[in-house]
Amino acid sequence: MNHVLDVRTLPSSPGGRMSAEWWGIAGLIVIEGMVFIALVVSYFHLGQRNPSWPPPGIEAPHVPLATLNTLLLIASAAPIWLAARTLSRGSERAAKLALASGIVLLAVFLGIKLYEYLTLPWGPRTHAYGSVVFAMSGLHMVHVFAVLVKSSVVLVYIHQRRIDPERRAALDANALYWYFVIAVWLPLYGAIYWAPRLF
Amino acid sequence: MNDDGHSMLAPASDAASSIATLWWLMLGIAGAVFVLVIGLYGYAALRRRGDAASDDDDPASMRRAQRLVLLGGGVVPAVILVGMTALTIVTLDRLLTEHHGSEADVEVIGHQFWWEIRYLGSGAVTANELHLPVGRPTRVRLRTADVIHSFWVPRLHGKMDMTPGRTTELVLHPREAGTYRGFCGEFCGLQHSLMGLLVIAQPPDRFAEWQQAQARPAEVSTDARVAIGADVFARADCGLCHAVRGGARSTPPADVGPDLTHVASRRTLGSATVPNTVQHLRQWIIDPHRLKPGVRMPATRLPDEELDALVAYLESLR
Amino acid sequence: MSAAGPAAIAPSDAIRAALERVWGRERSFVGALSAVNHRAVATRYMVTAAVFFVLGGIQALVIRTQLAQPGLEVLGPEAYNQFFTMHGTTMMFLFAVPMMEGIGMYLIPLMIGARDMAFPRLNAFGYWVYLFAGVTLYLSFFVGNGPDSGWFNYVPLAGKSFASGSGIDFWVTTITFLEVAALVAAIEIVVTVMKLRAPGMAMHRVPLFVWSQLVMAVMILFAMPPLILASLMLGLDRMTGTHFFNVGAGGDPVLWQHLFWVFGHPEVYIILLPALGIVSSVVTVFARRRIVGYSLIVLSMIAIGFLSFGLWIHHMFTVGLPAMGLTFFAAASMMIAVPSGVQIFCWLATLWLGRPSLKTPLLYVLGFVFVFVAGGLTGVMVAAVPFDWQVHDSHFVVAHFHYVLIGGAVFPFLAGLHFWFPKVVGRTMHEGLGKLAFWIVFVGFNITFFPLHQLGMEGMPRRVYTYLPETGWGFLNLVSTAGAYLLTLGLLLVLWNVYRSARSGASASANPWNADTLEWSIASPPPVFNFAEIPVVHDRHPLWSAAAPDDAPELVGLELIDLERPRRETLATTVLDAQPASRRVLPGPTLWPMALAASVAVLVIGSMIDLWFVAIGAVLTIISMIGWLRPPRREALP
Repeated sequence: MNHVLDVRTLPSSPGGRMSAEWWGIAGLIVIEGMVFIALVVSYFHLGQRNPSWPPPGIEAPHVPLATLNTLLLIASAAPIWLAARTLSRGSERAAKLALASGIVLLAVFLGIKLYEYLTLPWGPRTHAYGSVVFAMSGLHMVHVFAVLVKSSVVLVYIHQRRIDPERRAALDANALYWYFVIAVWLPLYGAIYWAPRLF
Repeated sequence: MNDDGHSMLAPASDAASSIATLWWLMLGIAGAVFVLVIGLYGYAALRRRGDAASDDDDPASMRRAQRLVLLGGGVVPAVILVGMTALTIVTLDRLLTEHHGSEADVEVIGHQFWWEIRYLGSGAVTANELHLPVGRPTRVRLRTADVIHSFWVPRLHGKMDMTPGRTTELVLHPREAGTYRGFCGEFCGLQHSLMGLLVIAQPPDRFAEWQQAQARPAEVSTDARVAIGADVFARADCGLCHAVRGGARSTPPADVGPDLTHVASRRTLGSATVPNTVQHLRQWIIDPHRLKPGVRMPATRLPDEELDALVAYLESLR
Repeated sequence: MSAAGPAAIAPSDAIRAALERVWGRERSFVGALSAVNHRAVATRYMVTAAVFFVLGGIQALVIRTQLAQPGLEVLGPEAYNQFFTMHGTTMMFLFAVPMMEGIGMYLIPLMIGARDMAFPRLNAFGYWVYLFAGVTLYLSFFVGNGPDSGWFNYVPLAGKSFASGSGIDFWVTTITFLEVAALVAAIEIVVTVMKLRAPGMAMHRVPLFVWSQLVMAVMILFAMPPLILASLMLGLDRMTGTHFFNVGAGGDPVLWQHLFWVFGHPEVYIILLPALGIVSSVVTVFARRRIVGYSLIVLSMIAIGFLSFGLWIHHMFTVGLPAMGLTFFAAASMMIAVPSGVQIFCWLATLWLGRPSLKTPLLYVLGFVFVFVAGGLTGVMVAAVPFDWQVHDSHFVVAHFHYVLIGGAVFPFLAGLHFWFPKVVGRTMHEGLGKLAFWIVFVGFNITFFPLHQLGMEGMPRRVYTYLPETGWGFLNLVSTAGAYLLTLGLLLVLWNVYRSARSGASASANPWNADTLEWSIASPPPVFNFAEIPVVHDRHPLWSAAAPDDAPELVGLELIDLERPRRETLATTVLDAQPASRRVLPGPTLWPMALAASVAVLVIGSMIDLWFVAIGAVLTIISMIGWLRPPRREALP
């Protein structure tokens, strides 16, 4: 006799790669990743079209502040990882605390970025160089801001017990996207801050 | 404005000939492939079968069918395409060998919606009429003053774009004397359609004569009406856009519109749109948009006698 | 249902009634706006795309009328430029892609044995975005202020200095917005095909049409982002004074061309691939035998998907790029003909070994082969760089890509229309009228577009609103225009056939063609829940195969509904071999997707007018997203 499976007994909200949501976010990451790739390629294309890059009279943004800020952004991976892990183990309090500290790190990152770019002596209208650098940093800042808003909503939901250890797909998806926003900054950082100094 | 044709299938230079040859070869190959594939499909769709057609899927016959598919649809096309790639490379190489070499002889600058033509050695400047010597390669440098245009004279060569921030080159080498029509090959705005030009290939001595004449400043006629016309030209601000080199009323160089130093010697008005007759010249000045809607030149309202004088002045610029 | 595998007890009336209730929606205006079922949304996509096809077709007919003879004044240059810009934009963005995605949305769940797609609300959202974007673009056109720089919008002609009106702003914003819809649908298709296939439908048993949609959707994910970036840059250049494309300040117009064609070339194959999937379906059913070379066809489609990203330079052969690069791209452009050739021969072999039944759908497929092979061959020709230098941006190219796009997409689409009409509407189309219309469309098409090859070689550029009598192009243009009217007549006959068959055609059985895939196992039209019982698959052609193999596990509970607590449920399976993995609970009707689409519309379209709209739109967007995604409190759960 064949083995019999009653499909009604299957789980209804699997996590991780078993869930459709995980695949959906993966698709979103492909799309956004392509936008950033196209942007970085455009940056180098314009650089190669210009005799000097950045053009004379414009200095690439300073490395130390941006490096510090980048480390801050990378560091924010820890609390979100911790938040996902503690929630899955049933500790909502710890999850909230971890998520909140991650949000604070993102806010500081965003603040420093704003300061950095608002005090530059050149802007997006100065030269194609300024346009593309502001587009790279600006688009990334929009993403960080989106993660910030989304995570704050998730935080409130955990507090309101709309998200809990059994229903944590939203937090997992949020974490996946958060890692992506960190990862995508690294090539931008390399292109903006190091490429003009190395080549 | 009659010309001696503008079909790439009637080549008047070696470059255009090699492209035409490439086309005929490819047409032959493509035609054979097309007839074969459509014939096979026709047979497959219409052939009469016994009722006991093979609906079986025994793995052996399926594999045989797949092998035939790979051969007919994969291997054979790949071989043909490698051949066509080789043809492409050979033709491309032939076209590009002429490009190695010296400085450009002529610069052609695309404008919305006309062609500025500068002979770099002699200082001759004209518009919409490119004269070339027969039997000798002329290196043409291409650039644009505004948007992207593309320089295309099918009987002489393929097209080449004129893109802001870049210069490109073509070598034109007409084999026989004639008038060949050219076109703008890249959509460039309202009057892309009527942005034509004439290429006039002449025996070298005739060409040299022409070039000398074009390089000279305008001759000042003593005719009274012409003098009035020159005055009108200045007062109506024609000189803001159009240059007339030399002469009593030498205008500062302006290249918004065509150089008019020898306008009366040209065959056409409005970028090879209408023959250059007194009647057309009048119409063009009063309302160029009737002949060529969207052209950049504004209409000019003038009393009849001033218009007559202006036309007389322009007609004197031979 | 022979496909359902082991003899299951037919679902009881109680189960059917419960399914009916839980998958249905209120019959009211608000109920209609809040529908999320895949067939409801897909039908809207297809009908809207058909309306845009008619609009784009009318533009084409006016364009052809203007060109019938030299010097006509049906349209002035301003209007003409808007007409051809809108024609291209409409056909590529508002007709072809949404139509193909709409067909996929309708058929994929039916073909893979699912009750809906993976994210039904996202589907609804995508539709509203598509509708709002399309309507906004057309508003600009109807007030005489449409975009006029061509669907390719080359800078600097499309920049602020040469196009100071708002037409291009409309294009940039609505197309960026529209891409969101295409991308959302692509994610939806990928996840649905990956996760929701019927038990047993392993990757090597997935119907070829579904494969074609999967490859198309993955291509969309990779191809559309560069266009989004490009139109974002153009919008910033135009509206905020950046310099991405401004040579005077270090920018480069050729950057636009790269970004546009990195999208634009795959776009052609994005339109073509699902059409090839339709052809595979029709060939199988009307050759009345199993398809030859299933794996070859799948591999060919994947190969086309990959290769199409490496060809974009062939749109830029005349820019003056280095010759080495040109040769590489010429070779690559020619080689993409190989996977197409393999598919052509697979269908040929299938027909050869089968017993072809020359009904209307197969006629359209044969018409497709004729036209598409011709267009493919001229495509190989224009990949030859020197020849391209002659015919680039001439009417030869106009002929070539209409052979490829109408041949490659519209003919298969019409084949699919006649093939699936009985399933969707529940009535069959009139066969005699269908055949008559086919011949008129086929002959009309060739009369319209064949002469354009010759005109291009005789020097007639593209995108010209008129030409001089002395060019000698008048006769062939007249022939072409006459063909355009004939083609229109044929398409009107198709439309008439659709109309009268929908009203009074003979009613269709579940499987009128004796077809092989799962959608034909259920009633025509299908019930609102698709499958009363999730089918189990053991073969590539499930309806043609005998019972399950002996060692197959027996699945029970496939009616998948809890009568105590009825919810919308479908079965999720593993990615590769489609083993049952979980139950996917799907959401019901809601207005939030429409609210979100409207909010994003305020943000994106308002950005043309004032930055305040961006702020307002952003706030509305966040509110709508919260409303959409807010999970219930734990206490509120049953």
